[in-house]
Amino acid sequence: MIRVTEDDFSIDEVASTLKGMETGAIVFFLGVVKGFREGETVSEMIVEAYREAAEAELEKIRRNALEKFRIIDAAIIHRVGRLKQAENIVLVAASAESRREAFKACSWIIDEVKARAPIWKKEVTPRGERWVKEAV
Amino acid sequence: MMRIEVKYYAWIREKIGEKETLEVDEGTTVGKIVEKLRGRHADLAGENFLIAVNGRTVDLNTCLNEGDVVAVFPPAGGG
Repeated sequence: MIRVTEDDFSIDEVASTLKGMETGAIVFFLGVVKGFREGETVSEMIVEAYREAAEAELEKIRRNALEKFRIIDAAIIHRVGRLKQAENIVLVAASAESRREAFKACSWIIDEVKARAPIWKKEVTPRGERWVKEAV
Repeated sequence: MMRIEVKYYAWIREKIGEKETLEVDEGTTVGKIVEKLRGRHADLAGENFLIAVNGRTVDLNTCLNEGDVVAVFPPAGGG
């Protein structure tokens, strides 16, 4: 499952799409809007994507992960739009027969998403808005 | 001559605008467009940005065609 969306997601729903007869473990990474960064309060995060390219890149990352690790499937959902502190931004899930490969794949996938997907974040602080220029 | 559309994203869009149409010579490459854009927009000077054509990343030697949509965007910053 690959999705770039304004809408929030349900971890249970994603889990149910990844549960098959051979699935013994599903590892999730959930990124949420931090309320404080670099010494300033962050009230909101504005997430923008070059949508068609972002969806294609996320699918490429998912396929790369399926080749690289002994996992059964993976899901990546990235939200766009204005998100408040503590709201969900990104979900990565990797399913496998056992936990070790699922942990490795999940960690690798989120690093690749941060490095490769054409998605950008802008923080809203009391002193104005600022782009997050490097993946954090 | 041919027309191509250039679309900007994230902080580049805020500085330059959402999109513009350029008239360029037939057979113009992506590399030539990058030079042209750097010449037109001082905000791009010294900045690192990426290019895609019709949603696909391309190399600088790729030739453009009439009606192509060139996307100009910063390196990834999501997640």
